[in-house]
Amino acid sequence: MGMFGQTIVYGILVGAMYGLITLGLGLLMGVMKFLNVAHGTFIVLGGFVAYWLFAFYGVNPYLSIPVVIIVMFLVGLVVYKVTLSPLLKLPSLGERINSSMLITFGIIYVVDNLMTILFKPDVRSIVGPFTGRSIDFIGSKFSVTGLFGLAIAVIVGVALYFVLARTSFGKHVRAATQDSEAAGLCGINVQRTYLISTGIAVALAGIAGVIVVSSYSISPNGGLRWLLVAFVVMMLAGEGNLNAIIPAGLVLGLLEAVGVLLVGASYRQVVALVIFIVILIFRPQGLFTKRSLHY
Amino acid sequence: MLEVSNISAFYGDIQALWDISLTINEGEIITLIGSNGSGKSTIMKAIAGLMKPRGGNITFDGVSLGRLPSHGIVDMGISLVPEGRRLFPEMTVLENLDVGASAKRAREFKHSTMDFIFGLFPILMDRSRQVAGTLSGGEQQMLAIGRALMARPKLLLIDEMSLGLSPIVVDDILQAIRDVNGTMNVSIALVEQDVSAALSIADRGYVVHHGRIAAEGDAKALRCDSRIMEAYLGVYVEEQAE
Repeated sequence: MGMFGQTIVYGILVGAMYGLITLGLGLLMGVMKFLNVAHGTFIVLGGFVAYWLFAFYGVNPYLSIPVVIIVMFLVGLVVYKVTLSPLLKLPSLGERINSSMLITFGIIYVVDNLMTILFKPDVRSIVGPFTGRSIDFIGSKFSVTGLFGLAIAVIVGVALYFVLARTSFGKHVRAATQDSEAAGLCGINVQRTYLISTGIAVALAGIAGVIVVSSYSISPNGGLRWLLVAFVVMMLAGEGNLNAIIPAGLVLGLLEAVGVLLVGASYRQVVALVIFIVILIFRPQGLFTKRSLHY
Repeated sequence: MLEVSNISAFYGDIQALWDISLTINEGEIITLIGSNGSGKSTIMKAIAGLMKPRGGNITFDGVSLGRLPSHGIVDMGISLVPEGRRLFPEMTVLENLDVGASAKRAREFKHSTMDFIFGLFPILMDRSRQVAGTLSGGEQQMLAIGRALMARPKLLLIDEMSLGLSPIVVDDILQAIRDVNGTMNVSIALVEQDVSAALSIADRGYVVHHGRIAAEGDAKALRCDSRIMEAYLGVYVEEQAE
């Protein structure tokens, strides 16, 4: 397969992770119109939970995911109760987006600095049994951590789809997304639906953090890098189009990998941000969405 | 059954309702009539918990609705078909009905209620897999009423029922409302532009004017009272449309 095949493999593995790190951001934005700029911080926090479980107890990071989900879900509940729930009183969605952005920006400062005090500002990664290993298949190398990331991204993406499409909780979420006032008139407790959705969104960030700390590295101030990637993927998918997030992640991963092949690895972030700008100019509703945005 | 006593309501600083009192008895159909912007919809919203009245009290079966959120009021047995239908446009007809049965009191009756609604509006069964946003106006209004009935209300509030619908469809829906009232023993409060149609199916009516109850009485009596019909519902318009 050679160089090009390896590039495609790399793009798919990285792209799946890009999709995974975006799910939580897309859920909060799509359902509640909360623009959570602390999403990267929550990814890092989830990564730290897995890191300390590994460092102290030797827990395999992929096995620590259930613990990370529970811890980060609770973090999400607190974040919603304390900071986000008052925003529902705001009359317009635009105000809700703006205020949630400011509030979560504050959360970045508080949580990042707390993590710096508690965990030291060091860059951490989990060097486990799979780190650096790869499998040769059809002439290309597949990194084992990348394959785990791909598998988890697909599992989580499909699970989220089923929860939203099939369960009654999912129907409540979609109803509240389309018309929250009408959802209340149907007897849905919209506040509780939002509370649980925020918990799920932050838990999704935590799962992404496990993959990041296993395949890459984390540091208390390193959330911004992942937030930027998640923004680009969310724009590609089309805001509110949750089912398109994993595919959009793959698109970004592949475009980036091919771009790096053409212009060199030092331009990796430039490639992503150029894609971001081009999408914003020409297709602000995203690649996968027909509907246009309206605020 | 429902007792609204002396409520006032504001949109920001602008007062919309003054000292409104009304009663809805079990099994009754009442109608609120009045010109655009008179406050009929605001009364409906206050009962359904979409806006909180200042002062006064609303009780249902003796229980104060006071600070209940709108979903709590659905749990009590009051459902609102809101102005403009407010369906979930990207969900199918079936999903809209399904979501309508979210209240605890409604869940166990979901299938039987759905059968009843399909009997009431057979067209909804034909359209059941279709996305609500693609339905015609009349079908959307039927679905909106069906969705509200899925919550098994004891009292159904219907706001601006015939807005944008053809007269034939309006007749069908009015007939269905009469059926619901008769067979499900659901009390009904109707806000309707077509005053004579509304008074023809209602037991009693309230005339709302400038945010106050200007007159009330037996529907037949109101219909025959030319003084009221002319003063509050006649051709002259002295206020801006909503």
